[in-house]
Amino acid sequence: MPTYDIFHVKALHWFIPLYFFFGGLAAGSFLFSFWAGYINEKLKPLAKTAAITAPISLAIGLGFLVLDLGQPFRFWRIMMTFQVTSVASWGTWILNLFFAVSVLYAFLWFNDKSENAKKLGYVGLPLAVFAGMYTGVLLTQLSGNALWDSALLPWIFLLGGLLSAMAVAVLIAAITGRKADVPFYGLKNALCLLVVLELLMVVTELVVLYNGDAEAVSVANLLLAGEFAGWFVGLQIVVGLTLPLILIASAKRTPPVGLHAAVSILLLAGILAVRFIVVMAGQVEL
Amino acid sequence: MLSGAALINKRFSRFLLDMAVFGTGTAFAVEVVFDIEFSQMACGKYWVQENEEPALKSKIICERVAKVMVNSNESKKRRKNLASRRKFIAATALAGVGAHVTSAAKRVNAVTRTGQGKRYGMVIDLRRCVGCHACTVACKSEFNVPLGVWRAWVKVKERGTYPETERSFLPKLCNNCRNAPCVKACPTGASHYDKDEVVQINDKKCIGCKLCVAACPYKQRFINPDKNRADKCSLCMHRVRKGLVPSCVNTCVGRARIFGDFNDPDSEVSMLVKANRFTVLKPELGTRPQVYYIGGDVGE
Repeated sequence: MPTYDIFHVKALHWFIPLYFFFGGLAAGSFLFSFWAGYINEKLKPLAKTAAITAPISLAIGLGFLVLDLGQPFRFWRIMMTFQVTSVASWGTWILNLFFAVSVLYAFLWFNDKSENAKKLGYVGLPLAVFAGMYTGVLLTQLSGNALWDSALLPWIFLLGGLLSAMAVAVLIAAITGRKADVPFYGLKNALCLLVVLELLMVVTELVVLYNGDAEAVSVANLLLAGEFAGWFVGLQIVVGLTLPLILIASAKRTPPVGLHAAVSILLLAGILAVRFIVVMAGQVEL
Repeated sequence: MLSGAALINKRFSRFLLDMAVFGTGTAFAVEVVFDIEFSQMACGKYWVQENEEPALKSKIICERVAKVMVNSNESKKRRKNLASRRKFIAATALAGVGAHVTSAAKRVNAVTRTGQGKRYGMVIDLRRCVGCHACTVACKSEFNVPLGVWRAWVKVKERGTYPETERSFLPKLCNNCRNAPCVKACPTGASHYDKDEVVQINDKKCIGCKLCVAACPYKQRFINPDKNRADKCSLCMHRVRKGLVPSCVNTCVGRARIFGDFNDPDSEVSMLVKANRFTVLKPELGTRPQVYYIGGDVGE
């Protein structure tokens, strides 16, 4: 049944998944820095790196967001009002608060005043969780296909952010030549757990889609067998999540620096692939 | 001598940097306070005002700024007695933030509609549409819509195999949803309900974030490639307010498109929806669109 319609340009381009990635990285870095700094004190050397990563990556992400605008010089207009029904408006205001808190937090950690930063960290925890999850809720507000209607998306994004934050911390530690006494600087169990959770969430999402209506089944087919199959199965699942899991779990002795860096890069590629696939596959008209 | 030259260069470059930062900051502050845009003015592409009263708004902003400055002057006198510089700085900073937040809160759009005013929409009689696309052309012509994007158009579907073939036509335009997802999604308030409760785009506020384009389930919104802002069918309010009908309705050869106010029980559109079975597009989404299609295959 041929249909003749006008050509619809996709609304969200590649700046948006990049922002999702860096925003999630910032939120995850803040959460990881708080956990490593005050809760699991064995990881304290990594906390400072993570604290400084948070505002920097948030600034990069917001930069991508401003570049994506049709009118980038008008970005300040988003701060001139608060639209209660718009998730993006909520995100703007809370992210600005989160940015201020994370800058202050990073400043305190940079000057080794980590005791003062603990109270600020408590303030920043809900802001960071919001910053990591609201992008998933934003996609629900838009009219994409069944992939964007998922309640799992905010959690997939938050966990992905945490995972990328840990990967960045390991990567920076490996690059700056810090000696690892324990495999993955003590993050072996945490990384394994998070990767397993992320994989479980992705599998759950697929199972739910396959049991949904015709549009949901089409989306699942698109991811597993359609034009996104290579990216989804190849990059996201195998290379980005499963391979690092195997490498991390099988590391008995402290692996060499190269392996640390390689695993981190694979994880980051996998998390970036998650963002791209969710945003692009969600806009395919089915 | 070399070190002296280096010192002068370093101080001069620091001076230049300070001037650049100060200049940019001041220009930005002027832009925000007076609600103008130097980049737009320089390009000669100033925005098109739509249902806004910019003079009144900038007057309100100026009054608020003056109030904050007057308060800081009074507290300067008190400061001499208080001898507390930190309290003064904190007070003015807080006043500035408070003024910004309250002014931002006041600029929140009304997202609910009273239902008492007009309820503009269209009835489209699918039996009469012949697929001539005159409405498409008229709309393009009325607004100088750029190439490649469309405000209103006709979707064509072919069915069956020879010799039992059939073509059906679906004229499309902005559905003027009562529960518009584009208005809900817009973070700047550019997408709003105007005084006739029609969904419109405030050209001045739109930053081109494309969220409304992604939010519309009927794919009626687009990014205007000339203006780099969101754009859509405006239901020709500029004509309707003068007592005319929209351009596409005016030109429709078969009188398939009928425009009117659904809150007026005597209008043609009200009579048509009472007398005919109608469908709307994607009713399950709860957007409550105001374009009713009669004469179509209801059970398809």
